[in-house]
Amino acid sequence: MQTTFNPNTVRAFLLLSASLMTGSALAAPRFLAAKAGDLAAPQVVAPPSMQASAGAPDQSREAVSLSWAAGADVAAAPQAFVAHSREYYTEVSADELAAGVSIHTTAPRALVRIQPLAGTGEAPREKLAIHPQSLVLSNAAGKAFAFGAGMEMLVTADKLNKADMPFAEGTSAFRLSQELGAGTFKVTAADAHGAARYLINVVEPDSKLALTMQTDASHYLHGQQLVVLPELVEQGGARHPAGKLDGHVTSPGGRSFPIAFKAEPDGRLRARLTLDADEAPQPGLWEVHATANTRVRGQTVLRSVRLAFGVAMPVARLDGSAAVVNQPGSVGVRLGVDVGAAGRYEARGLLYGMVDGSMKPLGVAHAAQWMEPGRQSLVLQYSASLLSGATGPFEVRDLNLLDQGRMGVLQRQQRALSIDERDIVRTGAHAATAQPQERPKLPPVNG
Amino acid sequence: MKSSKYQAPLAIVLAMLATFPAMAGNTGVAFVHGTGNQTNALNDYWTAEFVNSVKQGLPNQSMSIVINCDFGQYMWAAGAAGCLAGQLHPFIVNNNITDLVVETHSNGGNVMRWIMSNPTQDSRYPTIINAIRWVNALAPSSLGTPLADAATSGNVFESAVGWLLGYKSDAVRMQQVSWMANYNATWLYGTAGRPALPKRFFNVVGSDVDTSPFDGDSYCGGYAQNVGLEVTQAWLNSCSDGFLNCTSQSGAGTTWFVDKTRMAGAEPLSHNQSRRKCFGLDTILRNDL
Repeated sequence: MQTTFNPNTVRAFLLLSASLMTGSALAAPRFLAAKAGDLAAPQVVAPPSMQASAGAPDQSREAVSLSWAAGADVAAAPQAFVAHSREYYTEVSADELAAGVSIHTTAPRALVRIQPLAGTGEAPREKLAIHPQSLVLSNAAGKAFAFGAGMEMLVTADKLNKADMPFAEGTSAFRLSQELGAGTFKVTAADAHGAARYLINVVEPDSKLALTMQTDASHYLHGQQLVVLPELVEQGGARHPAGKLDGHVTSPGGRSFPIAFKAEPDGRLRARLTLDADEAPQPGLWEVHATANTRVRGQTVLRSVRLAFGVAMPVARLDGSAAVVNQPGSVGVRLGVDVGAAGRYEARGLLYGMVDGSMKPLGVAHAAQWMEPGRQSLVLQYSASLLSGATGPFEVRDLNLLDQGRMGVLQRQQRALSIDERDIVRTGAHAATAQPQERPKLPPVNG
Repeated sequence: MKSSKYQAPLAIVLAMLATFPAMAGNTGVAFVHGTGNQTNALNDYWTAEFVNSVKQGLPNQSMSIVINCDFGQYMWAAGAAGCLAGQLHPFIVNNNITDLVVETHSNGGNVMRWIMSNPTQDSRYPTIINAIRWVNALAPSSLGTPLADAATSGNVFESAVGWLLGYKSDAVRMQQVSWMANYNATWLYGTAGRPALPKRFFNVVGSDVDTSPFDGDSYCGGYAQNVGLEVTQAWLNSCSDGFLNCTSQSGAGTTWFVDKTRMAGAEPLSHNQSRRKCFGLDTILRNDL
């Protein structure tokens, strides 16, 4: 962002020069102790696999920085994401479909999607499509429903394609009629035959039973332990045993790692995996996949769930050194960076200050530049205008070190730095910031 | 900004222009498409009648640009955010645009939000951000969509690494719900509990799909497309535009309006209709310039 100079800026520069001469412009903020949930590496590494980027644009060599107002509604800590699944997947052959395949539902109006899979050497996928009209449904009592009976909203592959969603060619779907209720049904495709494979996806939006899954962090570093917590929950809060639970973890590079879920002393199921991120950087996230097979009140419950998380190789880290760098129009926070592998690195942090007697978010600052291995630094520059209504002590929170090229979160500290008011030189000049505008009045309703 | 809408005497305006030449820039509008590789988004994605209607709100209608990029890639990729910057930056600089309204649709909102959330990734981004007045995000997929999970699952089952070879779409993979949750928690701003974006991000939320064959409104934007979206609603909540839950569309920034509160006849906007000249949407966007 361009800094605009004006007479006030010149006066500010003179003031700053004076303060530099007295030695007050380069002060030492205090790094706060890391807390549970913070992400940090004890040391940097630079394996050969880390010599490539993961598809980020152009890998600029220029130093770029920007700051802007943070807004008032910033949460104290990031909220953990919990994946919910009311669906499951199963894979069957055409011959199995001809003999009848069981589907298990826990609520009426389940949606069933049937998708021919590629790579079987069979006919083109669109030729393998199964029209829902050709299916026969049977309930637990053996009553059969044919020619679309027992179904609503029959969807052929061409209709799904009209939605612009990239469902695979040949995919069809139907929803079980309300009057069929829930339970186990048999789906038979009499015309199907052969070894062609099909994916069946049963989605139960109205089910009260969901398999949830979360990880103990959203981002990890190579060598750290992933902890996965699954739970079979019922609307209203009841917990049920998840039964047979299988899972695996996939990396962006396509590697797969099996995981085992075990009950721990607190009674909760967990899977643990030491993460190996030593692979050529690829764009995208890691995923943990799990499937549950259990019975609740005599009914089979099947669930499949998937959850994304990030893993980075610690090719750089904040070295724990910091200094305040007062400049005309801005307050800078210089952060020492220990770089193991060359790359474009970014620091970003939220500045808090005292407003009306409590700590409030003031501004966000980002700074990035290309760095070679060794001791380097980044300077977060907060426009003085962001500090104008606040007093010290200030804190830099949610401090992140990011690897822009390899798309890695290398370090994250919720409460990172404390800065004393005495360390801040207020010059009256303001560096330019991105300024949001308010919306004018809207046109009349339904005009 | 928007000085032409103030009733200031011409002499004062001229004096201001002379005193503050940096404010003498132009108002512009940019149309940023959604998922997919577009080479003629004007005709293939937006339609000329929609774009031409909206840009009538500009003081100079030549100050508009329709973006054509490959938003089948991840939002940060050179072909996505890099391409968007490669078209927006020269448009802004060459036309001295200082007051840019960006109209995004669907995943285009994510790519725009990527640039605004990661301004230091590329030295062109701060110039773009500085020129933006605000973003009007039409049906943005800010929190992803369960449909992306469903579409991706089949592909993953077929080939664990098929997507590495560009099979299907990285952008669809990225718009899975847990993926967007992860990016929103770290790389992106503007969602609940996260710092604000450097410029405002206003959502237009589509809340339903109307496909009655006897209702002419169902044909706006293409009847067959709307029927397809009614089908995909089965994967979604009761409030959706057929592709995205309302919660996703309103998951970042500020909700400007929900379709039925502003559209003519209180009509809903399906995901297909929120990029077309349907029910007065174009007029609202025109008046916003």
